[in-house]
Amino acid sequence: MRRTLLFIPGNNAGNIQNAGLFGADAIIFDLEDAVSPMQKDSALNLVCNALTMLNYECEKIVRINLEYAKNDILALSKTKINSILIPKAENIEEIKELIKYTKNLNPKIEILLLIETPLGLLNAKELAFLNGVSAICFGAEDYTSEIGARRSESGVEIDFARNYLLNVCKAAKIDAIDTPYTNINDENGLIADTTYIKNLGFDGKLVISPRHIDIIHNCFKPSEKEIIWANQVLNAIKEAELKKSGVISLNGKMIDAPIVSRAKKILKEIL
Amino acid sequence: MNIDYIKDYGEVIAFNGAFSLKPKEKSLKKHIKLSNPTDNKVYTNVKELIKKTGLKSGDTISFHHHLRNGDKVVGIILQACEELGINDLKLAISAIFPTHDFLVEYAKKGIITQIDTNYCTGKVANAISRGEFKKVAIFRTHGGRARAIYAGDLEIDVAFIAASATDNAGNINGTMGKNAFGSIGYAMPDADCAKVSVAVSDTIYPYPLSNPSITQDKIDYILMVDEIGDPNGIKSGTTDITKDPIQLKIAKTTANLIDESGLLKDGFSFQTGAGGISLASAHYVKEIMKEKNIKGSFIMGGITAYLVSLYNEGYFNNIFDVQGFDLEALKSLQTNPNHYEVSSSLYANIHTSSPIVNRLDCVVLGATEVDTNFNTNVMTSSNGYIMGGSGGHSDAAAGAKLAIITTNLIRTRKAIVKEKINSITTPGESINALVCEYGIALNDKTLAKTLKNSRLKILDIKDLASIANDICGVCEYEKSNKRIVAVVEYRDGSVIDVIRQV
Repeated sequence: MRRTLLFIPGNNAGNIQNAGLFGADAIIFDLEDAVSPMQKDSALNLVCNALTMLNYECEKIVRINLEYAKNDILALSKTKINSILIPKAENIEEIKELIKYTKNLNPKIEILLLIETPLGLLNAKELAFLNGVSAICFGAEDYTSEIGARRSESGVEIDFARNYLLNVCKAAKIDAIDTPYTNINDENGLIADTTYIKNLGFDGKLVISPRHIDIIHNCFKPSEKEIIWANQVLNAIKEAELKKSGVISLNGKMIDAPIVSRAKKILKEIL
Repeated sequence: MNIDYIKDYGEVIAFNGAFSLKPKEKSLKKHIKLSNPTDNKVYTNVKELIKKTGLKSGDTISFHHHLRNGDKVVGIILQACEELGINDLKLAISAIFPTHDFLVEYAKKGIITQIDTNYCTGKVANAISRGEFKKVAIFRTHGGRARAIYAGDLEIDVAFIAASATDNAGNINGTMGKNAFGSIGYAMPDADCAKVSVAVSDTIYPYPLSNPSITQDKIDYILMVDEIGDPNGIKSGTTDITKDPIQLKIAKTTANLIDESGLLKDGFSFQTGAGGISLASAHYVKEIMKEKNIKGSFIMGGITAYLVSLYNEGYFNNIFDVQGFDLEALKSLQTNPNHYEVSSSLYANIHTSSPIVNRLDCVVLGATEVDTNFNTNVMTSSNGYIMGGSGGHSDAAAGAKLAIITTNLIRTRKAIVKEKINSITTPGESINALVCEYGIALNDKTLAKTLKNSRLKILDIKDLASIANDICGVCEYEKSNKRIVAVVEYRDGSVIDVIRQV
């Protein structure tokens, strides 16, 4: 489950130490934008030590630097890392090469791509289908800056990118992760934004404040009506299996594989 | 602890359990005085007033700390004492703040030789730690100070009681005048028992003063000064809920613990401090009360604007106020009929029929260190320097049904929960639970049973210590063998620990 992926600056020992305490589904230790060029080596050292010494009860992701990608990946591959987030993903051959390099070092590491440029969005159709890619994340701040859009509360300027990426991810059967909500103190805005992207079909959201985690999880919680429906679907399947009936229906509507999958997803989200 | 006698303190009764020490039969030590209808109580010349009180070298003078970091009264009195050649004074003041840093100079000159207080920060705390006061300091609890005064263990020769308003007969309060500060609860035992009581004020009203907190029969003299304090230093509370995500997590867990304990129901009573985790805990408790439509009985502690808002919004029916932290607390005390000013004795004196702390359902407290037996230090930092004191910590912990310590497990790269701590202020037997960012540790079998099937993350305190050790490394102490610089007195008058020179 990747409802919340919390960014933690890779150069802040205190934040790294506490990163696992907020209940995020995943932590993204950031070696890229959050770290100044002068601190890149010490941040990599700090994150590698944390990923070796500390126990985090969630997915551990590191956003590497595209510029020093192989150096970062080599160091991280020896730690308890789960996934690598490649920023500014747009060049298909370059990403292919990095995936190959990573998998050779540690085949268990999953790859997440951050699409944050118009070219990246254009190539997302191919990038999403590369072997080893398990999610695409959307970075709206850099993207809107490049297309010359002004950010608005409604987010109308990123509707196309969101919907396109969502479609690509669903076609490739990988997770679609939305851009972070950047107004840290606006709880109502965060609720509205998260509810909107959840209804679009996104699996989760990048997060830049630990205070956003519980709020986003609450938004992703299924409603009572949805839980009742999901239980009814799974009960109907069980009954049909007992009766060895080939056709399964609920309240006169056919239950097929996507419906079962949706019901299972809803019940998983309660946990 | 194996010490029978401490010089300049006296015989030591070692702490042996929170309610084990039976008080000796002592009658209330009141001083009989004769007053004449023609007596004039009001003085404007401080030296003339001090002469009139009969204050001499070797005496004990007392002050309260309601003016907090804005206090000017201690300085006015001590300067006059110096000019009059009075020295070797014991300063019995309910708390010391950085505004009192100048006391270090008076210690060097031998004018102040001993401190008797409930809480101490700033340069005075450092000076005590380094042994710069001639005599051992005595640290009491807020309730313990009141007990000591009434029992005659702390005999006050002259009490200088800052009052924001007075009349010419000595009816005084802290709620009127230009430097109003709120409740004057810590001075009430002093006014009852001191050989001589002096009100120090900067605002005089026509007789009789309305709503006096201490009445004229307890005040011998009135000293009028230009300013008793600096209003900016008097206000110390905050209404802002912390934004620190770790503190918020601890506060939310604390509120959930209170809820799951079964105590959070109609009639709930609650004490919490100002700022940080305490205020955020109050906020989350309020959210639960709102959701479940619970009406509490009373809130207590240092009163802040946030606690006043809980009363104003109808979550609690009463406020017990032994000290206020801000102008909202003051305004509420002036106007709300169920906002009661209480003395430190009524608040927390163990040797009375029933202090209010005994009626508390829950108190949320802090800590600088906690050991794996839940013994708590709020007195010294991990390097042995004094940086606080019990205040009401031990009192509320002993009285409340549920005493919760809230703390970060690790603070600035140092473990807070560990095998051994530097000094014990509040005994572990008074603490029911500890909440930190990693979860909850319980010290209460009944509560553990209640919470068995809850969704709270409950860990053994030893596991918490080991998480901290894994991250920070084991902290080794080299216990000082130098001279004792402070006695930590428990609320019943027994000695729970001593602090040695750093």
